[in-house]
Amino acid sequence: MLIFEGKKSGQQPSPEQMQAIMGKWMAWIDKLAKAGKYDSGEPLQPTGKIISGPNKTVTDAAFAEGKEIIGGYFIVNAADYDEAVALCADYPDYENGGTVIVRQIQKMDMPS
Amino acid sequence: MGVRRGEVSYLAEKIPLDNPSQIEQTVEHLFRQEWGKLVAVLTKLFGPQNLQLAEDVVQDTLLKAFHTWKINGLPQNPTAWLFIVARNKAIDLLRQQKRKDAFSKDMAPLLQSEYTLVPTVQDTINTNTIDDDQLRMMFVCCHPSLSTEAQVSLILRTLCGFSVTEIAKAFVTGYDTIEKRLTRARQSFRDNNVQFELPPASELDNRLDNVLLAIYLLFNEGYNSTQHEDLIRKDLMNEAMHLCQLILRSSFINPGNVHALLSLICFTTSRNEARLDANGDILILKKQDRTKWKRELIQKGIDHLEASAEGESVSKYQLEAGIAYEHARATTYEQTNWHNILRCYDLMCKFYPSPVVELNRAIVISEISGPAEAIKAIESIANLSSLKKYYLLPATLGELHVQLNQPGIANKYFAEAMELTRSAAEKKLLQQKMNG
Repeated sequence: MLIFEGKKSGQQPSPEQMQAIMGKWMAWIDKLAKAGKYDSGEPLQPTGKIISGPNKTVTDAAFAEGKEIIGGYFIVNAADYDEAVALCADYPDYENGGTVIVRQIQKMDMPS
Repeated sequence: MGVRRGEVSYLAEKIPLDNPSQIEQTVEHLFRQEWGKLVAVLTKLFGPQNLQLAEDVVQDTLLKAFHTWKINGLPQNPTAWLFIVARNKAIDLLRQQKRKDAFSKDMAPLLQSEYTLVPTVQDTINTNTIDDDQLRMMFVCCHPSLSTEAQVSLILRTLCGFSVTEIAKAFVTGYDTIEKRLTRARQSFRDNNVQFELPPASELDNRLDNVLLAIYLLFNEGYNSTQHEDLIRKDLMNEAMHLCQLILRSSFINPGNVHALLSLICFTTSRNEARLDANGDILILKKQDRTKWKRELIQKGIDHLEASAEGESVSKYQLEAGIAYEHARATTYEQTNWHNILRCYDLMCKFYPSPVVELNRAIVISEISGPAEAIKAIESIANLSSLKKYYLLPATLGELHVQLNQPGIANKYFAEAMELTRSAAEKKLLQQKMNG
């Protein structure tokens, strides 16, 4: 699983900038899909709730400016971490302060 | 809120794509164009006095689209998707806003009641009247209460979707200057109670002149970017063309002048690919590879020039287009019909006199009668001193003295011209001329 983390920036992108970045994302997904590496992915809303503690306290997740925020995720097919990391080479948002977190989905092998 | 998943289909799955750039082409300038449409319809709903609010809603809408589409792919009808999102955002906003009279006066009573709120917004924010809405927006931007600079900046912002940074770059001013200019313009809409409508028929032609002048300036900045490192700003030229085409789709507007301006833009744009060499250096008309001129744009220019004829009078744009046409139809530099071009300049000097026009006329004279006559013509320009800061004056004089075999005097003029232009490509060209 590739988890995309970015910062909410103060300056908003112009329509052309959005267009350019979107084009890169679509090209990246297309490349992964063609190589048979892409399984699925979803963007996440910039709002959320956090439930915590024994009292199950619900709070609004405050995504203030400058704070890390998870913007979306992909599930990809990779043989190992090295390959998964290599697939992230085309992630378009490194220059915009974005980060990719690569995690392997835990297989719950049941003893037979 | 928002759009149900079922309404969205995924481009990546539907259309087989051979290379990444194809995806990018599919949606080229999509965001910019949709920005222009959405700002127009939302300004219609909120009124020009709330232009900033309209822009904010559009920015929010496009950001939502951006975050969703980059991973999920484009919906089948991106425009419809955006209009639904913008409409829902507008409805939320109107429900929160207690004082409905802060919005469009005609619509205030309809926005007051839940019975009519949603239907009214749906009726306003839809794609059926986009051309008309954008046309109105153009006239709003060119309201006579604004300076020409403010008009052009506002057009770039609202109709062409340029960010403040991009406008500042186009005019090489600071971010703050443009931001202030736009803020003052929006304030002026409130102060002058500007409505989202076309001017009355009696004023329409006059106001159209404002609109065309703004487009002409936009185009000129694109054609010969005095301020920018890239000599040709194709994006600005394309926007100018796009705006002319938008006006021509309207049945209210007297199209003659619009055709003439569009004709000029087509002829000039047809040469874009030939104007710079492989290193991005300027190629003067004489050295351009004319096979690189875009024939279909030249043909479009001819069509629009023919369509521009109305009555006896000759407009400034027609004369400029006429000159551009003479260049476009000459298959080699030597075949240029300088006498026809001179006739156009003579008419320009008669009806639309300016020192810049006379300077250009002098260049034509050098082609017909030689450099000495041309220098005489320049010396006799009335009000020559107003060209003191215009780099093409010393650049032209330098060129004429080269032809007279007077390199010393020529270099003095070229050095003067280099001081006056900020364009890197122009400086380089002048440097080459100095080196002989």
